[in-house]
Amino acid sequence: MAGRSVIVLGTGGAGLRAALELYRAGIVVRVVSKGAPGASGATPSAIFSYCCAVPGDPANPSGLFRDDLLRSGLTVNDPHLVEWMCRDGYPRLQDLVQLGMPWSRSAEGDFDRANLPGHSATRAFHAGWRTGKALSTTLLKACLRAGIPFSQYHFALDVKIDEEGKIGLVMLDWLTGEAAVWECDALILATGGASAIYRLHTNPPGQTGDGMAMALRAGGEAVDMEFMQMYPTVLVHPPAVYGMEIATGRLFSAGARLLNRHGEDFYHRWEQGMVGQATRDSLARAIAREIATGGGTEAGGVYVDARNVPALMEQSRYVKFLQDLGVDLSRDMQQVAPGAHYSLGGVKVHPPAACPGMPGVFVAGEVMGGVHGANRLAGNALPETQVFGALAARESIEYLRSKPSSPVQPGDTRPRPVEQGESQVWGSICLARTRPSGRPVEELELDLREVMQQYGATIRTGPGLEEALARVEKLRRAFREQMMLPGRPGVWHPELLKAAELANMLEVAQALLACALVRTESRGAHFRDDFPDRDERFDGHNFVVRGHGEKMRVFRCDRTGKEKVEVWP
Amino acid sequence: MKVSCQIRRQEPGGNPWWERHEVEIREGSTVMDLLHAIAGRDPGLAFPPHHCKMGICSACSLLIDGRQRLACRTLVSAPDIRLEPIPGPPLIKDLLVDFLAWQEKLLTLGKEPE
Repeated sequence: MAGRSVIVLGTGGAGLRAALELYRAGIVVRVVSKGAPGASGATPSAIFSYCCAVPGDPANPSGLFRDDLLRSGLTVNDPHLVEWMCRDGYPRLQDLVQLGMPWSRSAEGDFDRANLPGHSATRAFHAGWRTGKALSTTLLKACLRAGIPFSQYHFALDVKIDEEGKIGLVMLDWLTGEAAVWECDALILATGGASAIYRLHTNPPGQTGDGMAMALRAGGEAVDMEFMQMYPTVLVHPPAVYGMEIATGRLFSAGARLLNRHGEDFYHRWEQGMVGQATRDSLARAIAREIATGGGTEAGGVYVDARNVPALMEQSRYVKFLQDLGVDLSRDMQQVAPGAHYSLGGVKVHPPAACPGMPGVFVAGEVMGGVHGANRLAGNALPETQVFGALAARESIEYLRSKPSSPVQPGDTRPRPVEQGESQVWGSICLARTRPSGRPVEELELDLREVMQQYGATIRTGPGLEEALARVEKLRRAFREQMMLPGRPGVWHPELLKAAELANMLEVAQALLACALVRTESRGAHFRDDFPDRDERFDGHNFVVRGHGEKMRVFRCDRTGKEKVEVWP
Repeated sequence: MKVSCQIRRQEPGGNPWWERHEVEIREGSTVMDLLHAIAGRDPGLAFPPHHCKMGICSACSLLIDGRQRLACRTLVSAPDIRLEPIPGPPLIKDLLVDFLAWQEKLLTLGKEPE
């Protein structure tokens, strides 16, 4: 295996975990990040917990965890992926213990665990209110100690796999503005989700669906793209906190009120039951409807009045953070709207991590689709990064073992120039750099995010989705034919990063809208106003996306994967 | 509100200089929002492109009026503000430093970036 090289894209929890596993197996690994490791990726922003079953604990067996995952996934999730998730969560937590992660513990040294909605066991392990940050730092520290090389501020535009299995990555160094092809024997995509295709989302910047789009362009598949988890109560004002969530969990059951701009209760007008018992999805729907019918504030939200609710949120660093920015729930009403939170869909895998159609490519983390199904339970994103990060690495090692020799010669590892036609995205970007006039990339990006917010968010309709698809098509044409990227000499070319991200956002947006259009029912995170009920005929059925741009196709698949019918366009 | 912002600029390997920007921002904006507003007019201004957005990753650390603070966690409250890169880590350009090198150094000392 000496000399075999693997590239890991992404420095969130999944990417760093995969890199460590590869390093320990003696593989030459390089980790690439479009930002700075430790700052790029959603993992450090995960506030709370890591949920897993504990072998031998009768109150928290893996079978019970599996049942919870399958129940919340509403027959959509892949049972094989669920099995892996339930089996490996605790061993991966123990790995983090070995690496020195500071889990919260009792005075006796036992793990502190919380009980979260939707979980039938007390299984939310945590490190206080900064579990994601602690996990990220622990892994980064281990990678740096091991001397694993990082390439930061590098963006993978496209991946090409030749007949010998050699993988070429068209890589943009967006600081210098130059692109080159890097070669490797195997590739791990750990590039995160796609929440940033919406105007309002809770993620840090950069969640633009890069791995999903890259896979679709390289012959891979995406699954469950119509399921985008929306967080119901995301702050929209003041500007400093735009996109920050306020924990819905105990907010309304503790007596907080939900009011429109006239100060009226409105929940009961749209949904059954009491606001105090509302689930996340019915809260999101009621708020979205109230805003859509004119009950929203100038900033595009509704009010949460929690002034009469004592000690609503624990005095965490997060509450302190909001207070520093002038947001105090005990003092003022706050304005909220539903915002994108987590991509349930993503690259389709042959469990646990291999990509059909892309030999040598493996995926892990939010970029992967299928483990959560139509909904995700709280506390399940962090274990997903660890379980599948390690599995993707192991599968890639198995893959390398199965190949007699490396097609990548030692001399190949030096980057080579990009050839004409090797990356369509890079071609469009180069053209845009020479265009003397046209539309700036920021404008196209804002347009897309607005379209997605209006038609592809909480409440969807057939005509709205059709309209959105037409507008995405227009934006894709504008990307190729009108976009301008005025160049400057020297270091720092964020406009190139933005353009490359936009290319990916357009692919992911189209995949999401197309799947949402053909799922003519409502289920979990996907709600169709024209088909408001769950339709049993969709039970166990997934929509699988293949191809990109004008050549994108959507197939309906049953659980066996045998029945595949083209349903879009 | 109208803000007059003084920024220390520096090209890789070059000498630093001060630059003043007058910008209009919405009340209740952070220093990070202010930087985005300035970059809208001067796309050449380099500053931390990715950060956690919630005051914990430290990647948006700057010297704000001479004190090390987080750009995502600091409101623009006065009409005058001065921004510099944090001293110590290698400078990439303007307000952007090599965050990875910074973390590596702190971690070997057993500390975390705060």
